[in-house]
Amino acid sequence: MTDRLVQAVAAVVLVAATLTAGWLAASIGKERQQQNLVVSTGETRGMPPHVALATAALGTFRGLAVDALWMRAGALQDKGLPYEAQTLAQWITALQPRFPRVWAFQAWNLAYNISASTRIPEERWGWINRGMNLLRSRGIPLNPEDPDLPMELGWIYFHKIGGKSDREHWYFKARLARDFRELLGDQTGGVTTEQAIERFAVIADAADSLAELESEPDVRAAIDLMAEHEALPDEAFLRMLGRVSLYGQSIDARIRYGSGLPEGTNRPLLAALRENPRLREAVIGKIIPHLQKRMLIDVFGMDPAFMLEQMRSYGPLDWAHPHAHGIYWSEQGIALARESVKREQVNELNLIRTRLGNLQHLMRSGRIEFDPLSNRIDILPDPRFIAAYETGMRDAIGLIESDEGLSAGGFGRATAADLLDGYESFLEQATVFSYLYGDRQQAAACYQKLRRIAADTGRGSDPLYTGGLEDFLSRKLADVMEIEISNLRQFLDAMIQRGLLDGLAKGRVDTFTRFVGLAHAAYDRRYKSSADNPIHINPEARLPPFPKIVEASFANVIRREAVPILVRARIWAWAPESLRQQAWPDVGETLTGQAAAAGLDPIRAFPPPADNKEASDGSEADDVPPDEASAAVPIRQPVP
Amino acid sequence: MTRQPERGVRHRWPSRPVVVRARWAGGAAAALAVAWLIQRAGFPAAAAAVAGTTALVIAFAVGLFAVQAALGGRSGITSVARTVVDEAIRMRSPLVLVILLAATLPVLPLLLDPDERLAYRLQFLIGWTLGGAGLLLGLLTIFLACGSICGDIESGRIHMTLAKPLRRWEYLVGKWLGILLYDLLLVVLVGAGSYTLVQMLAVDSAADAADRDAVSRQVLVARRSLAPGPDRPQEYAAAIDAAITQLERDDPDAVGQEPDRVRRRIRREYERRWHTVTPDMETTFVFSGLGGAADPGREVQLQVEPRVSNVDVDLADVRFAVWLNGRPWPMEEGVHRDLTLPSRARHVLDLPNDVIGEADTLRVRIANRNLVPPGETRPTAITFPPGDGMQVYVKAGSFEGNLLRCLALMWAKLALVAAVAVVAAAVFDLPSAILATLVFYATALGSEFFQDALGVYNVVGESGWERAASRIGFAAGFFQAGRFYEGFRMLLGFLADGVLAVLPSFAADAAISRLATGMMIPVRDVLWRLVLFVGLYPAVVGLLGWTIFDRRDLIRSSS
Repeated sequence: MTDRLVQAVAAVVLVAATLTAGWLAASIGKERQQQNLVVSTGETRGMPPHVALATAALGTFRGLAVDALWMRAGALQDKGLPYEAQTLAQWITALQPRFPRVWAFQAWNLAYNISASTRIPEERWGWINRGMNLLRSRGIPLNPEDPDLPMELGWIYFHKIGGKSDREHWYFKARLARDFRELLGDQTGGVTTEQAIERFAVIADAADSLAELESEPDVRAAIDLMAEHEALPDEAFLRMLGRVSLYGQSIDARIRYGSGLPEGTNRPLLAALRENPRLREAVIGKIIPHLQKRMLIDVFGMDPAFMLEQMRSYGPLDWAHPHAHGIYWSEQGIALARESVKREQVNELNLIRTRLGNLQHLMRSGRIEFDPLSNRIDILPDPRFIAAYETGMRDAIGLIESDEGLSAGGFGRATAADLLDGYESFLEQATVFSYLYGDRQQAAACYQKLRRIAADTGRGSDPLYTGGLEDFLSRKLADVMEIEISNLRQFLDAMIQRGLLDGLAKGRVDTFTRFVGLAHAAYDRRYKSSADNPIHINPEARLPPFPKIVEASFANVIRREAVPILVRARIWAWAPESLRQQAWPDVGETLTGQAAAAGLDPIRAFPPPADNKEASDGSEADDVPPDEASAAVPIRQPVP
Repeated sequence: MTRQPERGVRHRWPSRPVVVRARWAGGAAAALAVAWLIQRAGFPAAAAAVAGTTALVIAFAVGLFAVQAALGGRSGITSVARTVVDEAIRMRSPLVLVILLAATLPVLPLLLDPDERLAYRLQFLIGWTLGGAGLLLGLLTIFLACGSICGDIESGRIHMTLAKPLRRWEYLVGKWLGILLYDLLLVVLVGAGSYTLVQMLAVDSAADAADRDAVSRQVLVARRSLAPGPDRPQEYAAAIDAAITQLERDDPDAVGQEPDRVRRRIRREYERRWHTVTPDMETTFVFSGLGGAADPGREVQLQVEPRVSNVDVDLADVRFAVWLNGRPWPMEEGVHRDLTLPSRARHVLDLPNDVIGEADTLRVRIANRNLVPPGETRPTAITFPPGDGMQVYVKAGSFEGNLLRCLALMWAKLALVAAVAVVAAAVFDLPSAILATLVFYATALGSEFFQDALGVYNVVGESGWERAASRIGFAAGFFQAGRFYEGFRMLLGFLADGVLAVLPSFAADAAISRLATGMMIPVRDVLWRLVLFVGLYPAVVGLLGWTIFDRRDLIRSSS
């Protein structure tokens, strides 16, 4: 082959290749745009400099670099070596900043896979936070129009922290509670929904910057006072005050230490503020709300106005609760999804279901009781969210019936029947919790709805719906606790213990009374109906008088070493005096010894009853039946 | 008298080396001054990076001088080697790579997230400094070797070189030797730089006590791993023999055709069964060779990677109780606690010396304490897969020693890359030589990945012959069905297998990964790879290259 021929062939190949490339370039370019594989100069706007640089500078090699990083991340994960996971996730997302699925995957991988590979709770929490931060601080700001990323973040709050699938879920809940209690305090406990909203509105309406506030002389003077005491209007100051408030409200702290301030408190500054009401008001009314607002925006990527909107829609959301965050982020996702041009690709029904699921969880467990000293966290039902759920359901039905409709992703338009499946289980829970938490009227209303649904679906004759509200409650509670109602003694003990632990241990005498009341109702059904419906009871199976049962359960719990000493001290503090008097001779010595061994002051933790003799003279037993008078436990409630 | 002015001129103008040294010194002083200013401005990390880069450059200059001095002999081979070292700082591409190396190495710590656990940051730093440096040095070696030899041939300088009393093989060996020494210098610098960075980072604050402990006991250490043996080896072997005998009696035909295969299968089955702790039994694993009383302060760790059966949850928890040499462990407040760990994840548990005592043998007894999963009637079995599933780690050396072994391996690999590049340059022109060597280098680096990726060509079979026969059978089937592309692809598997079998794997030793995870790089492995990569392979490749190079018409190849 001559050189000339080689040149001719090469020229032909050159022309053919150029023409083919030109022909293919347009479709390839379009495909690359669709797949977010190219980044134009305009698209790098708003990116952090290092991300923009990595994105633009690598050009076409970006894909190769991303491939290599994905391969390495996968290989190390397969080998169970997590040490590069976070850095690789940061690098991968820096190279693919406008690829929402990449952010979602990396965040999920950190929060779920990598976190679960360690057995140390702090490390697990660290990985979950890294996953959430990846979305919160970078993924969502860089993809502000994508509805999936807020949903992913909401899911991590909802499922990973709020759920029970991880064995360290209590630790996660406590960490989140501590973080937000220090930041915002308890804004929803013991107040009405309106009051809670009012409190949060102060933060939402606070000044955006300190410069805005500094024009006010009191604020300026307060900042100067802080400076004199080596404090700045920053996160550290806010958290220091948060801790003071948190420890001040801690029952455990009072039992253990009496009154006092936590470590790291700027005592001179607090003293100076106490002496100057004008400056104290400036700090509490202006500076703190401003700092809280900035923290929510800058650290947690949340919009206080949107948070307030959610509280107005759904009720007294406690931001120390993971489901409150779940609601916030899923609502962000829902709002974006409805604005999205690709609505048919978004499963809006799922978003709505998540919203309702969050509300149902809040109804079941929306109240947080957190003690900073012991890191104890209790998640308690909050019937205030029943109305919110009903509102959410009504809104959802409204959306479904609107002209625009509600998209169910690839399944077309959603229908009302898609949502009603979970409604029945919600009503069952709402009935139980409304009753237990003192709202018999709401419980009866929910029960009526349940009966209507049962009748409509041909289940009206089910014993659950024929025996009345109390019968329904007894059966449901037995169900919840997986106890056979026929095994009455076990049921009674379980109910009383639950009353002690969920009620008295948390300072809720009303809750205690309701659990004991339910137990008494069940007891009465067995032993008080002999006139109308004689039941033969074997003498060996006969139970002792009801007050004796309460007393035995009380003594059992108060002595049980498995129950933390501080919990038992709280139960003791809230228990009716007569119950304490009755139990003291049996448990006094044990409790005193255990308190001393735990380093507590026995007198402060388990103060002896005022007059032990009262326990035996029956002076408070006016409303108990004669056969129970000797027990003299004044907790019998009229059975509704 | 006529020579006086010349002397005067030489006194007035310093010689070139002096000027060069003065420039180096001035540059270094200026860089250090910049570092000081950055430090004063409140950016200590950036200042450390600038100072580190400067230190690397200074050390490079000093080392280069030492290498040049070492190659000061009069033999032809050393003369050629010296020219390569000189070329290394003259040629653009190797120089750019050296600058890149000196600039990126100290900057790497700045890319680490300070909120990350210290142990992870250290592991990342070790992995990426040595991995990145190894890659850059590989590329540098290729460009230097190919550029030097092809440059000689294309410019015609080789005629002047070979006009001296120097044979062609001596020329090739000289080039290889020069690159080898230059690489040695750079590897030493990389090692010193990485070590300094690691030590600087190691004193940073740890996330918590467990993190600090992990740094000293799982990263900056060299541990050897011990595999378990059965509790009663004779009984275990007898059980296997009995099973084989039983099978031979029950199904003599199956065993008779392939007795070895059947025995292997039965052994694997017994091993798997022994490593599986069912709910109704306890299993004991015996680890021998802990060192005993000879090393009273030894650090012993148990590494487990449990799996569970019939639980369809990733990383589902497993719960089991452990006894070490018959004593319950761990004990908390007088109570023997069960261990609850996520499955499919690796866990390293520090074992207390007071429990193990001074025994040379550790007996780990495991009892299944799993809970009954939903929908099941009994707890799941726990498997510790043979191999990585259960091992004992014993501290066997220092991080420093491990680093040296890792660097030795890095250098050995560079020596082989250099040999291939020298031969490729002796045979091809510059672009082809670089391309050929890059293909070799990429294949050697990614050998394991390619083996995985080429799994599509793999067929199941116990022996190589069996697999080959199956593959031919499949290919024939495809061709008969008119699926020529698939048939051709199936046959291509032979080529891929052949290439991967002949070429060495640079990743098989997992040296950097072992270093980062505090696992000992065995001296035997290092020595064997030195023999292979610096001796055997280069000799074979060199012989092949010399055969062609010796017959090559260099005049026609020169421009």
